[in-house]
Amino acid sequence: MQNRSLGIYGFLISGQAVLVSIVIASIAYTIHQGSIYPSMLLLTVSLASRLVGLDISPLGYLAAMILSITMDMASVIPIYMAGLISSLAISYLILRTPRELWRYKAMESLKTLSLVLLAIPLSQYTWLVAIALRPQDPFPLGVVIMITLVMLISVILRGGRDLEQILEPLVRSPEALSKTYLYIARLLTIMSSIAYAVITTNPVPVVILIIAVMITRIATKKINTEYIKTITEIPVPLTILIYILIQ
Amino acid sequence: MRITLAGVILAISSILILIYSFHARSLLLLALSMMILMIFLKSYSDLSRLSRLIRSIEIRREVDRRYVEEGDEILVSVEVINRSRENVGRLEIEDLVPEPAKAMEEPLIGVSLPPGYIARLRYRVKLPSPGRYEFERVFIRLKDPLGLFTHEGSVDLVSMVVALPKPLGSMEAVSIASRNPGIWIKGLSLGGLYDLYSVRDYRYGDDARKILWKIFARRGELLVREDLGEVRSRSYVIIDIPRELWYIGKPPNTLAEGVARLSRGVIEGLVKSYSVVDAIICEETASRIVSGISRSYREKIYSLYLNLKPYRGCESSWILYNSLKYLDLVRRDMAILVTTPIGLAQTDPELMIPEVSRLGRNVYIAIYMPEDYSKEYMEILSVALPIIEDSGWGILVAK
Repeated sequence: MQNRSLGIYGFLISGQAVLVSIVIASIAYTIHQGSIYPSMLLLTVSLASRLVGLDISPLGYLAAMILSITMDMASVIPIYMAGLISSLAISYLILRTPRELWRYKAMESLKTLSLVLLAIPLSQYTWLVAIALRPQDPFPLGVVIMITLVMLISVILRGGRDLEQILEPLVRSPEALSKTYLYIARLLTIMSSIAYAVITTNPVPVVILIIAVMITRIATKKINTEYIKTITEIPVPLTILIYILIQ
Repeated sequence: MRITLAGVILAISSILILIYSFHARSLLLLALSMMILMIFLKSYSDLSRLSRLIRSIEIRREVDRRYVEEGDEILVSVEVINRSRENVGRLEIEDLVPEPAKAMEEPLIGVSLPPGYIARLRYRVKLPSPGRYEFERVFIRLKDPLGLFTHEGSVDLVSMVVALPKPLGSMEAVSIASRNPGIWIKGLSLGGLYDLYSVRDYRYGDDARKILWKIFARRGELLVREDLGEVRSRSYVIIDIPRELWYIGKPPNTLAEGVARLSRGVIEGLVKSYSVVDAIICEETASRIVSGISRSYREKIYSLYLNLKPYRGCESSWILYNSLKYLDLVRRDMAILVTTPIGLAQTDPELMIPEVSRLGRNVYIAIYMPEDYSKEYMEILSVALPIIEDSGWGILVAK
């Protein structure tokens, strides 16, 4: 049902997809003039998608990215990925919308855009920290730091609220206290693990954190009782604390 | 909840970039892939939350006309109301058009819907064949803003439209109608100008002046007299459209469509000459009788073709003729069988001829022949027509 002919609604979606793909292909070729084939592939699939009337333009981006990877053209991959996300976001923005939803739509689109753009400062900051701590081979430490930072961001996103609103349930809704405690505990654990890893240039607490979080996630999926779920969250900060104390 | 093509591609490309970032030792690519995965997870959680709202979405469908002629266009509108208290960022509405109707615009729309708002999908549909069209299912798809996941729900909303066949065979219809025993001219017989035709039980709506009061006083029975000059003839029209006729010939001129048009032509001809028609049509495994199609009650003709579904029809002609045995049908002035050479070839004459003959004082068979009929049809008729002639039926061949 997804890949069927879409009529006027599809015309708007696939029409903009072709325009975006032309822009992206031009930018990608300007940045890396080593080969024109990924860009040509992207344009071909987009035009085919438009002609056939099937919404298959994302396949063009995938094909272009795979070809860029095989040709080791790392610099253009972010451009294609940005193109894919833009194409999907524009198809959302052009939907017929009442005025009341314009703000909501703008917020949703900005959230997506900010997450994609976050990759640039995040990678640069991580690179700087890693190169300062391990100048001889900064990449492995950079990977660990980055994964932890992404976990921190995901905790904030999963909370679905601004940091300043975290304490609100303490005042207004005593029932939500248990969730708030957990939220704060997770944030503190991640931050203390990063801080310890950066100060001591020892990535072990971060690795322990990642493994413990994975185990907790799997365990909580199997448990339905809310109180037991709360208990399963306790071992993660406890393990990190014990490790830091032992060291 | 299902993942869309865009979702699959985003997931695959982010994993590929993640792996490649280790090969290229690029923290930028690693960060990008992780951010994309995060967007992916966010979309999933957004839609999981929204999918609970699907029960709060109300759907209505309306069609502008319920009765049309074949080849006409109707306007279908589907309204979707968000009864929840949350914004539905991305919603697709798709209506399922019944075969063989053709949607002139794509019956699909994508909208954003705040609480309490109504989204409308309007599209025109052409009904190329006669019969009943059932619009049944409306699909609604909730999507996350990027359209990576979709949660589909459907509602069964039955809306029916009947497309009448265009009348065919006007000469044949006039020929049959001209053999009626009488026409209905209200009031002329009151002066005793016409001969008595029959005495029957009183029916609601009969003229009170026609009641036989003396008999009522003597025996308590309420009877009315009918005179020859004012009686309406009553006829049966038996329509034989077995399923396979829909697949013989090219749409919109299949054999089934030809028989439907001829049957309407015959009925219209009879009704125009003040006859009252009882039509018998078979749908799937049972026959249906639509009685009392007359000048003053023409709407009944819609009920007749309500029982004809394009590309369905009767399982076999045998069902139609066999059912006549078990229906409590009284003898009428006339019985007209509308069929095709294929219908005749499938029928046992020992079943068909006696069952149809007992329905009318005069029996006719109207055979629909397509313009480009083949040699086989003539061969069938060369066998069937002598048998029919022997049984005393009148034969009319319409093209």
